[in-house]
Amino acid sequence: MKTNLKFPQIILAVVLIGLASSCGGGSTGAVSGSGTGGSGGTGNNVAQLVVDAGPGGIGTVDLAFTTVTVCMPGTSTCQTIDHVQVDTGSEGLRILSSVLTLPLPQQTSNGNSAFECTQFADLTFLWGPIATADIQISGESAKSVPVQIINPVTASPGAPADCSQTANQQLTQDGTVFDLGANAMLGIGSFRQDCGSACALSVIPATYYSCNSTGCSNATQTLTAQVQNPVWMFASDNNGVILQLPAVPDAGQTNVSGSLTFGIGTQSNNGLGSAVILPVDSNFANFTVQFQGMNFTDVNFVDSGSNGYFFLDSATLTNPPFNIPMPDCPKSSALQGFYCPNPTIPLSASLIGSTANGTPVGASRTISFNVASAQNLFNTTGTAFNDLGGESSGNFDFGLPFFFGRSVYTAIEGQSTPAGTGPYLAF
Amino acid sequence: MKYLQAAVAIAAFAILLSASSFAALGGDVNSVLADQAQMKAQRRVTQMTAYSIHEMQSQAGTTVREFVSPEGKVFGVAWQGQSLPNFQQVLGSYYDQFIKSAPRQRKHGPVTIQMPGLVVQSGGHMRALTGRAYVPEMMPSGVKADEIR
Repeated sequence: MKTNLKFPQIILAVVLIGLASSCGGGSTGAVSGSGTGGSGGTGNNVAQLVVDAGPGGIGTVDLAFTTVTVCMPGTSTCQTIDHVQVDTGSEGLRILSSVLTLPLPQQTSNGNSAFECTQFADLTFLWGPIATADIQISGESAKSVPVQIINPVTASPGAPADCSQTANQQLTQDGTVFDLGANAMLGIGSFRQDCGSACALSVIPATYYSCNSTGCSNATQTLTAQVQNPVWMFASDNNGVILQLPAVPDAGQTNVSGSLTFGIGTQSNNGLGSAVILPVDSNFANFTVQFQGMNFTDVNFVDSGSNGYFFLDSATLTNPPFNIPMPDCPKSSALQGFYCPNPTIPLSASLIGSTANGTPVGASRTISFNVASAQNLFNTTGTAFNDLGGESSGNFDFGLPFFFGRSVYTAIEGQSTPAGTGPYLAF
Repeated sequence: MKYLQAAVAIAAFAILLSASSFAALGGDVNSVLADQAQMKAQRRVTQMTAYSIHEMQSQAGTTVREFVSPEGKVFGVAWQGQSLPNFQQVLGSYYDQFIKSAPRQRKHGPVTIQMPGLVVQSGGHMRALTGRAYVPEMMPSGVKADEIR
């Protein structure tokens, strides 16, 4: 979720982003990926995906971006936002308030405004109000979609204590912090909503709030009022997404372009072909991994919002039974959490569909991947690496490096596809 | 006599208050009960060879497991579910150190925060967050961090 930036870069980034966002429906700054003739097709359901250095060239690595148009509901007053991070590990559109130029209507109930605390695995959080927007991506559109506006730390009301106490850094921009690494996040993962029935049935700390001039209190949020994965609200091609990125050299590449295709088996350009379907469990959207003969059951996932192959840790890998010497990188904020083996280490793992929902054992695919020294990779101008790796204690998080050279399908919960009802992963 | 009874009652109440204001990690087993009350959760205890696991499930669908040594001290906390736990509650006296650690890194994904006397690890994705916090020097001998899950 974060980018390590030096102060002048932050100023530059903020200025550039300010310049890049305009109002009134004009399409601003086309996505800047050039690169190697992307993979995937074209059509009204295909958006361009780029893996570049981020908005204003702030220096992101292995993050994928697309362009999204948001409109005042029911009107043609729109704003096009580039460098929206594409994240299959979350649900919902979240836009930095400093980027947003439209006065999107905020969601209110009995005079109170709905706010949300959004927590991420890296112990950061976002805070801001829920608003409603029409969303257009490529030729697809969804009407009146609840989205989150990401407020700066200085905005009022601030994050309540039970939000800030569950994480250690508010992820936003306030003049000194610009670490989202994107103008907005587009969460198009396995679920329809960002919380689901839990938040509709009971008041859960650090999720939804009802705010007025006297402050904020924890609140339930109905399913339809929650921040939605926009894809399942599209009029068509609404059962899932396909991310396609071309293969990149082991040394990395600068600016890669591919495609983000909506729908699975709904048009001639989004069929499953020979992809293997891996069911994921309905609660957590995880699957099983077998690595060197050891099973890690229902704790693993594929996530375009993670910028590496993140798995286990140096001590676990280096010691029996694995005996794979996998050094951590030298201590620095840029390299923290990444592996730095030299030479590169080739590995393989089997991804096995979850049986948690009664699916028979059987669906599995074995993949090969490399882990190179992050220090060496970051010394290049590359923005796209297929061999960036790091630790994830006790499980496997297959991030963007996994997507290069593949078509990766994410089917949304409850949505039917030619291969059955989601959620599932296929590639 | 009545005054004495009242004094005893007040003293007992004060002890209860202080017990409930301790949070779990590094605290004694009473702090688990405080966490249970805060989470409004059911608690299930599993006795292992080298420690006991107190497992609580919150309304939020988040499972918190607190690992208690034979001496009755909480040396580790693990969580899994929709939300992160309330770290002020579960980290107790370690919370101030944790909240100031604020890692800023280029990695977008799981994190490990190494602090003097405390390790916090967090991973997963939206609606499926997992992690653990533990005090290495309080781990019973032979127990590995991987067991805190």
